[in-house]
Amino acid sequence: MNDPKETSITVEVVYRGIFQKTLAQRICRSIVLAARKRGHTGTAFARYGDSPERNGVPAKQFAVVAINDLELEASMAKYEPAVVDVSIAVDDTLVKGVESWAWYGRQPIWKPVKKDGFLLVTSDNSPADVLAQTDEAERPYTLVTVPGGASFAGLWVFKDDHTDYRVLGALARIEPEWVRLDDVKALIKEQTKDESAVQSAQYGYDAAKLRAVKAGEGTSGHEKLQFTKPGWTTMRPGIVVDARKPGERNPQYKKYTARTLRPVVNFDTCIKCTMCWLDCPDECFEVTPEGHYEVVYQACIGCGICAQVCPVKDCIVMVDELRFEDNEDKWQFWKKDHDGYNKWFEAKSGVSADPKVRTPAARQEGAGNANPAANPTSASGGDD
Amino acid sequence: MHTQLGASGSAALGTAAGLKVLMRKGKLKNEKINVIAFCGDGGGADMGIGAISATLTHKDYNCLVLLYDNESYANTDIQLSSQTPYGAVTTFSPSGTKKRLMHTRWKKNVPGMLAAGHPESRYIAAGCAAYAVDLMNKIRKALELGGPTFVHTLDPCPKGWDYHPQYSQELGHLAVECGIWPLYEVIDRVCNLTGPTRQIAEGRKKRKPVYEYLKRQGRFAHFAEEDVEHFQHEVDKMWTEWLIPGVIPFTIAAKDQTILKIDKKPLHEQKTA
Amino acid sequence: MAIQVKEREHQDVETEQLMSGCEAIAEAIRLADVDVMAAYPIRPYDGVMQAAAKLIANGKMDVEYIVADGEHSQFEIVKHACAVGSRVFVGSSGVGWFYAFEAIAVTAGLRLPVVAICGNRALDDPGAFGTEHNDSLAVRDLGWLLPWAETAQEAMDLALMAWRVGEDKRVSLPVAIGLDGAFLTHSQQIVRIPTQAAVNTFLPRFDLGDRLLHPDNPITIAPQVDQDWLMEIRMQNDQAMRKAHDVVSEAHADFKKLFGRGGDSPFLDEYMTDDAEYVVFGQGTLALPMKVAIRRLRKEGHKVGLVRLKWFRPFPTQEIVKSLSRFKAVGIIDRDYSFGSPHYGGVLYNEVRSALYSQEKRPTIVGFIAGLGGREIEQPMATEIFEKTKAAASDIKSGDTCHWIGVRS
Ligand SMILES: Cc1ncc(C[n+]2csc(CCOP(=O)(O)OP(=O)(O)O)c2C)c(N)n1
Ligand code: SF4
Ligand code: SF4
Ligand code: SF4
Ligand SMILES: [Mg+2]
Repeated sequence: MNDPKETSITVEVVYRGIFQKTLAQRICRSIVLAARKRGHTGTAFARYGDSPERNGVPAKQFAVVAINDLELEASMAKYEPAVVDVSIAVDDTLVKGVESWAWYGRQPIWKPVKKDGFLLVTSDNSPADVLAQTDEAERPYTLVTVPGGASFAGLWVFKDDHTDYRVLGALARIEPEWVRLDDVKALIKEQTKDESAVQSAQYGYDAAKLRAVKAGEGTSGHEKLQFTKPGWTTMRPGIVVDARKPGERNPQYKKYTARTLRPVVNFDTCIKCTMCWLDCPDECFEVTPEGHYEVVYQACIGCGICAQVCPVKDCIVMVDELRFEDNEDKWQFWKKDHDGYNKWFEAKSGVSADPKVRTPAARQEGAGNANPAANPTSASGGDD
Repeated sequence: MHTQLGASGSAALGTAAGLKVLMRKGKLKNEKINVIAFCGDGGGADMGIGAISATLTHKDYNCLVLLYDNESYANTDIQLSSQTPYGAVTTFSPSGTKKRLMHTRWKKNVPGMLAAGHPESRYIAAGCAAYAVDLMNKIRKALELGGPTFVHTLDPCPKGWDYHPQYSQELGHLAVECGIWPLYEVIDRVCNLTGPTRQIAEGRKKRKPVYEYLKRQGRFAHFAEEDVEHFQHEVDKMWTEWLIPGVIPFTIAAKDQTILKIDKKPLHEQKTA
Repeated sequence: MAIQVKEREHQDVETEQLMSGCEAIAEAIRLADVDVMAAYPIRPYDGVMQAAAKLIANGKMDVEYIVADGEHSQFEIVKHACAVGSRVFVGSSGVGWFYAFEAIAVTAGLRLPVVAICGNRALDDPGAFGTEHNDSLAVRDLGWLLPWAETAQEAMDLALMAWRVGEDKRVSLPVAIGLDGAFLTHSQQIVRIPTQAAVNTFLPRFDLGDRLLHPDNPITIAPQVDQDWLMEIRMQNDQAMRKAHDVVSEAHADFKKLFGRGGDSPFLDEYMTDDAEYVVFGQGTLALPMKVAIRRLRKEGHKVGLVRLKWFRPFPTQEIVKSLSRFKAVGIIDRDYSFGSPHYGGVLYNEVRSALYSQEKRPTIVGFIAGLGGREIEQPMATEIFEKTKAAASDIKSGDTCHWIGVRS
């Protein structure tokens, strides 16, 4: 086994606020503990602050592993490392960008990844599909995909779908000087006494797909959303900021990077009942001249409430965010090109636009585990 | 304007008083401006209850205090408040190997207490985000009736209750349909039950077992059967023993039923005993 | 500055009245046409609220007078009333001041010019109502302007200054006037009450400008901020505090012109210092017994004097340096304590020493802790203070000592 060439390595886990918090924490802790098995030291920590920990909002936790305590010091007393060796995204829709704090704008997922570093994504999609939704690279890196959908891991009850073990296995594949597969497996064995968990790590190691990404590869289609922080001479005194006028939306903080799934609306079957408009927690619906309700995708966080409250079956369908390239509102499209829109609706949602046509029960509802039905809350409590 | 934790009552009062006096003195255009102060269950039901109570006695000021009850101190990572339901897991009440339940206090009855204690407030209500129209009407009434008013809403919280956000609506409905969170309004000291709560009270709808509600949320995943039973028992009491179901928790002793026959005529018309 | 004179019904002639410090402040509230005030009982400050209530009951002023459910509410109420454009007044004392501390702490950051008095009081070792400055001083780092009065007249004058300076757009900071409990709050003196017209000229109408919380001016006040913002916000406060120095001077000059009072310097009140070699330095009512001692000691041939500080924040560093470097030794009298601080001194002692540190010519500075909990400063104590100050003059190092005066062993 080789000794590391560097004196330390920094890994970040980008996850969806709150549901994947426990998952991210487990991954970061395990990285340090696995590296400890071969004598390294390390630290694991979360981005301090409460704002990012909102449902679905991209948030970050970190693991730093170093050859000794002195080398570790350079990575301590920080909120967030500016440069990482590996960025792990535990939901592939995160590659569309990260907007955790309003004034950070929308950041490319690879932003802190160093030249020739790694972007490790859990995804059931192909590396090509993932790359197609990742911002154009500024420097070369390696995209690594490891099988798995977005895990709705839960907060109090951790619904373990082995995402963490697969990720650790894949990490051992790309950073063996720091995290060895044997150490990962031994650690998991100790922690879970579960052979299938150990096998999941091996599976992650074997199934990880590596794709070298050159500068310039990726999409240039995502919105640039940047924000310059004002200085004390330009800020208004008294902690005052401009507020939105009634009906106006915040041009600086759009929230759409919180989405794993997005609602698409079948305007043909909509009965204009206003339920979606009433119950959307983020006031995303705008009423159209004809009394339909269309989603303002810039504001939608993908919570799924509208689909749940809509009384018409399959009138609002939640669809994997990775299948969309834009954030345009869709009513105009439907208005101009009825059939074209319905074809689009069917292609995206896998649901027939014609209510008389029965939709197969097994239609795909978003990416893997993000479908909450796949994760009923039933585990028993009493941890140690 | 962001106010300090526990200060929503004072914020509402100060804002309303400021607007009122400036308009009276002609320093500000005279017009109706709604003053609404939001608080959470932590800021409102625990820390700020005194200030809210004080505000509800200042009948000359028009302001609404809106308590957004997600049943925990959520911002600080979900700690239990006086509004956290019996037995729920929070970061201050984890379920462990020795203690299954760390939190065994019953939820404080805030709107009932405030309605009972502030006879001059013209509008005090309990609503729920899942009944949006009912809630909108309550807010509208509170603002229209004026004076200091209070609306307490139960707001299902995916983060703290541990469920997928798409079920928020459903959980709000269940809280009401299981009889855990009654919907009502007290207008000028007259209590109206609203929505399904009214239907339950009138016998038009059967209460659902609380288990339907509890089992959907990670915060109750550690419940044993006896915990569910206790929960059900306490909710049953709200409906069978309280003077007004879910609103006024005490009743008149059986031997004292004559109290109900009290002479309601004005003092000068009453015969001396 | 644009001046707006407003006719009032009461008589427009300067009058004289016998009134306590508290009543003098209440009179200032009337003259300033305060819009909202919030009261809660605690001695000694609440004398102001009692006096103000009477003025309202007698139809002398129109103020929204709110009896709050506690000091935290008191300060939050006026903070919010101020945000919608009201001129406000509030106050407290001792532990009450601390009960409100959270609201007090955030008010300066919000740049809301709340005017308060702190009727200085010991921090409630039970039954201790006497004066001690630690309540006011607890906010010394937070961005409040802190003037201190010596007499009832000065209390009224400083209150009028407080709205003028605090509400000035260059400053926009809250002000807490220090009034010594009992000696000032509750003793009656002859006070000249200015005319309404003159006050109206001195005190323009409060205008928050584009920071007014009103539906026609959509703003958010105090959204969530974190480490990405706070340094800049603190820097703005720092700048406002720096500007406050000149705004105080400006207001003082106008005040003198209009009312003929206020002394030579806005910041320091000097007594018999022209030829003095040894002076004492302090704030509030302790100047009174010290002046008596000075006259007595002068008769005996001692060249002694007094410098009284009128504004603790902004701290008039240049003025203090200029004044104190003329003397051989300065005794700093603290009616406060700062346990475990450098040389176990009081707050003033350490601040003055720090102001003088880089001066080539500096006097010996010796510290005194006196009059805590409202203990009277008697003449023998005053003599002892001057003697010890004089003794220290020969050796600058002897100033590294703080003497407790009038304490039983
Ligand atoms: C005086 C004070 N104490 C504690 C805090 C820390 N704090 C910030 S938000 C919060 C939780 C408030 O809970 P709640 O009012 O229920 O609102 P929620 O976050 O649940 O919406 C706490 C305790 C604070 N900001 N101020
Ligand atoms: S998913 Fe629906 S309810 Fe949720 S934010 Fe988007 S539009 Fe609103
Ligand atoms: S809930 Fe469904 S049917 Fe009702 S308005 Fe919305 S989209 Fe149309
Ligand atoms: S889920 Fe909603 S109620 Fe719960 S903490 Fe988040 S924003 Fe608040
Ligand atoms: Mg809460």
